[in-house]
Formats: sequence, C-alpha cells, structure tokens
Amino acid sequence: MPVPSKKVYLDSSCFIAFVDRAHIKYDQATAYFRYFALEEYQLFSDPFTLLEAYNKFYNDISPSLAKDFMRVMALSNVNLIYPEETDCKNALKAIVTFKTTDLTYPKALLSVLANRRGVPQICSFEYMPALFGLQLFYLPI
Amino acid sequence: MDNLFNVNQAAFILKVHPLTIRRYIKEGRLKALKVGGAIRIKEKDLQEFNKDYTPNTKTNESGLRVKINPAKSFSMEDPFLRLNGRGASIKLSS
Repeated sequence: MPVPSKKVYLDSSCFIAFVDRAHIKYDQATAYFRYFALEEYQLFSDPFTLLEAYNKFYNDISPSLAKDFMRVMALSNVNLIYPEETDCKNALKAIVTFKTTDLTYPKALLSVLANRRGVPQICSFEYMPALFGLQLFYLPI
Repeated sequence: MDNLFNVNQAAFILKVHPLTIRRYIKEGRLKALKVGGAIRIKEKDLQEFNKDYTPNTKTNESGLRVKINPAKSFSMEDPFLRLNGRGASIKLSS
C-alpha cells in the first residue's frame, strides 16, 4: 500500500478560512491545520497566495490583522516557493492550452509551483482544476 | 546480540570500496568496534548509517549546482496557529 505524501500546498482560501472565524469553512480549516501540525506535514505556499490572503484581511477584516498575518508568515514553518521566470512561462502555457476558462493564471502558477517541488496535494476550499495531477487534500471529519 | 560484519561485508552491503568503509570509520561517520585486532561493524550501526538521503542541491539551467533549502515541517508550536479565529469578516455590501 502506498504511503500518502506529507506534502500539501496551501491555497489562500484555507489561510482565510483559518483566520476568519465568520468563514463558512472555519471549523474545517481549523481541523486541517491541527491535523497538519500533529502529523508534521510539510506545508508549501507562494508569495502571491499570501498577498491574496493579505488583501482579503486588509479589506474585509482589519489592516492590523493583515500586518500580523504577514509577520507570522515570516516566522512560520510554511515553506514559500518563489516563482522563477520559467514557472511564469509554464503557467502561461498551461492557461493557453487548457480548454475551459475555469483555470485562472494564479491557479495555473500555483499548480506549476506545486509540481516543481513534487507536492501532490493542495488544500483549498475553491474549485481547483486537476493540473499536473494535483489532487485536493481531503480530511474526513 | 547484534550481527557483526567485517569491512568487506559492510562494503558489499553499501556497494562501496572497503577503503571507503575504513575512511568512514576513521572520520567517525560509521561506528565500529575492534574484536581482537579486527574491525567489526554492528548491523544496527550499519542500518543507521544507511538511512534515507535527500540531496540538498539541484542543477540549474546553466548546469551549475545550487543549494536548495530543505522543507520545514509544520508543528503545534508554529506561530501561524496563534492566528486561529483572530478576525471575523463582516460583509456590508452584497
């Protein structure tokens, strides 16, 4: 039986759901992060995802919380993957070749970065196209 | 008592030259013991030495080896967990 990978890519929606207690997926996000911590998962994200979450906190909650979020992310063990020029080109290629319009550029870039570091799963509360075999992380709770 | 291997057997298991095994022992990377005058290596020590290896370098486009940082694991002490439920968004407009 194959051992499940302990690498998970984090989307901005799971950061938002974890911090925002009024979010519909707040309980689920809390359970996810608790599980990641207990099982010592390797979590990955990228600066664009953080920026997206930062903007959401800044506009919908408070600027001070947005600042706290960035401060905490600088100290956190969430691994940030910085995109290179080739990643941006690959993401562009992916959205051009992808048939439907569901795939946005940030999602394509996220899939490319996850693929580069060999991350097979993504934790997200939004629709994610299965690009490069990226699967949605699911925790039955 | 653990199984004991001599230098040649350990070299065969690790698929390296016997002199490499002697060097590992000399450098203190591989634990060994002396039985009389002969070097012997415990099976347990050999297994410990022969653990998983993840390269911390990769080749970039120009063929140069660049160091990559090993991925850190998330834990219960992570500062991000302190942000749990810190805010509540209020949508004033639809």
